[in-house]
Amino acid sequence: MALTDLTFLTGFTKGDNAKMKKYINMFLDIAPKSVAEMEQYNIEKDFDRLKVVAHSLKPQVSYMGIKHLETTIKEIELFSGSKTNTESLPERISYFKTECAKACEELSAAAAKL
Amino acid sequence: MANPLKVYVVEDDTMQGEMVKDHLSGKGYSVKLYNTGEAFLKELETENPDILVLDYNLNAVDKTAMEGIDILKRAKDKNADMEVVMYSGQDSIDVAVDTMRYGAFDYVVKGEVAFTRLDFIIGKIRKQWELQANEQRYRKLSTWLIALIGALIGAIIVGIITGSIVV
Repeated sequence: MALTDLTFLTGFTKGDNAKMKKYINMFLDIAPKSVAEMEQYNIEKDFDRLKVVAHSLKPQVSYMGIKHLETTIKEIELFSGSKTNTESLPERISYFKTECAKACEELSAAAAKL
Repeated sequence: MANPLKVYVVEDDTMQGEMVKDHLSGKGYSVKLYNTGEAFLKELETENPDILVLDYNLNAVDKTAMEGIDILKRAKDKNADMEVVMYSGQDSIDVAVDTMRYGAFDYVVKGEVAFTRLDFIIGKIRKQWELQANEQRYRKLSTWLIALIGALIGAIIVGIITGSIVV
């Protein structure tokens, strides 16, 4: 089953392949860096910065149609922002990292076909 | 053709900024993108944008960068006529009310529907400007009509006094 859904992006770019590729590549560049930052801020217990990173990543996950990670990224933002349930953050970040890597592979393949 | 509306965007997130810029350029607006509020404020000395789309959280990349709400206050101080649309990932009524208290026209939550909502809000701003322009035109017209009626009444009175108008 596909992990990503490019329906929104196709509509947004009106099917312009160059633009689609541009946005997918931007996400492929940003997402791993953001995940690494989330891991680091969690280790440092800098929940305010962790919240900022999750907050920025949240709409991008939605634009790439990674539906199954929308709740996880929202929870990371919420828990780090409210500093509650912080003990669950490593597990959530780890899940996000694994699934996001798979989604990125799929997006990478999709971009190559454009 | 009239000059296109100048819509400037302040967004520190590269992808978000590009998306908003592409979307608004596609609508025919003259768009400029700034990745810090400070850079925008500097440009505001010489530039005169009609609308500003301003990110609420501007310290995601640079931790020391000024926040959107501070940029909003300073931008409105410099150019009160420019309408500001706040743009944020925070779906919070408190944040929205707070930004509007400092002069923002409206508030858009980032996400898939944000672009449609942005179009709707810009449409609303244009409608408001149209209404204001019409109101000004009617004010000028009514002033002119009052002056004309006054002059006519004056002429009639003079006519009656001099006998050129017989009642």
